[in-house]
Amino acid sequence: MVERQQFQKMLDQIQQDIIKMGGLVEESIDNAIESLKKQDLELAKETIQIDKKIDQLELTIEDACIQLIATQQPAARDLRKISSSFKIIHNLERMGDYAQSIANTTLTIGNDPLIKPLIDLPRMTLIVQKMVRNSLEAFIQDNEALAKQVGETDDEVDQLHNQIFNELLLLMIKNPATINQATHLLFISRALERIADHATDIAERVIYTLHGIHANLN
Amino acid sequence: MTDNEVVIKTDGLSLWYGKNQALKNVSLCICQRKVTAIIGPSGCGKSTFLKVLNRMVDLVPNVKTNGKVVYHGKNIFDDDINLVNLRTRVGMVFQKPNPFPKSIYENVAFGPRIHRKPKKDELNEIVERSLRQASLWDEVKDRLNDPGLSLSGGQQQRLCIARTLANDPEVILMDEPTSALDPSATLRIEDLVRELREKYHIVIVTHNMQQAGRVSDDTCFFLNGELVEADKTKTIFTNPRDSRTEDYISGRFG
Repeated sequence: MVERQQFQKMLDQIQQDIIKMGGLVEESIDNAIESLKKQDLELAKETIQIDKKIDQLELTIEDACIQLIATQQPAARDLRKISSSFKIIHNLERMGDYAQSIANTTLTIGNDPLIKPLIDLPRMTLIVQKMVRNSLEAFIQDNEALAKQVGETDDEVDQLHNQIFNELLLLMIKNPATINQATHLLFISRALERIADHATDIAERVIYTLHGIHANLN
Repeated sequence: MTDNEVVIKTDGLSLWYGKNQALKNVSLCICQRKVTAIIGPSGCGKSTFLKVLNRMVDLVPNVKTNGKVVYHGKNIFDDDINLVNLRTRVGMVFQKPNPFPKSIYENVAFGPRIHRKPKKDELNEIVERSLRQASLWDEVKDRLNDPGLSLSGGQQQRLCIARTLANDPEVILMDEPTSALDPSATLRIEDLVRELREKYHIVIVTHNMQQAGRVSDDTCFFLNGELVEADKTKTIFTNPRDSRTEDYISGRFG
């Protein structure tokens, strides 16, 4: 079978760039939560800088996808892979924005003592990061089982988010002085929960790429 | 699909050129008011299939066929079929524009003059209507007596389409009708095909997959004389069932 070398090379490059973008997003989420945990304001500022790289990469990949469609007339699964790439880079860009928003919150909280030790948020972060990594791996490797697993993990994140919500609510009821910071922490939990939703979207694109059907994995 | 919508139906159609089998047990329906594209690599039997539909393939020596091609409830291989009628109702446009070495007017008037012997006024009407339908009238109305061969390649092909339309066909077979044309003439013919679809049933063989995507409603993929897959064009180009179709339309062979 004749492989379309030029086409395959361009498609491989797009996938490489998506992995790179995913790596930056993961780093960004990691830094954002670390900076919050350690109240490391410098690290929070660095996180905000990473977002610029993520945004730039999104545009680069978008241009490459457009070029591929315009010059190589992809069809069937190739076309679905490219159309999914379009969507996925948008998901990643949104994740980057959420990480940036967490970093901004860290800066807002500044050096005020934390109202509670952070346990569930870092736990949630680990799960979310794994979802991001697995969703992209599933996309690159056409791994349907892994994609479905991402969808299932989303439920765990939703549960953790609800747990954090209830816990912070109790804290606020008990001590209204915590309301300000507790609200910020709630937004952070919400941001992580949204990142997980975007990872699930990516996993759904894997199913679309493979079978041409729009699945709901959530 | 109901039987009412089917114009031509092939049933277990096989064809041999001497010992060489070019079509293998092809069963396919061509539907009303649709453009059906036939795609596949060189030698897959797509042009042969087209030429069977009006028995043009009879002109090749040592051809043997098996199976049926049913048109208006009748197998076109039956002994009592009137070939002239068949080829009038199932017209054909070829790869290379091939106008007769006659005037533009005479090219279009040729068929009706033989088949129907119309009066002068009526013939003028047929010529004008056919040239209009082929989107050529405005470009040639002031020079109908110029030679057909003096036109550009794209215009010559539209003249050939007008010549086919003048015979009042029901089905139009097109064998790679734009492969000898430049991109703008190609798009012009493609637009024309979409317009003609309102009145005629069209079967188009094309090497250009993007063309199949642009002009057709249904697409059939042939490989080594077999019909691999026939479906809506949208499905064939976005989510074909057979991996061989997928490989072909993704440009991975052929």
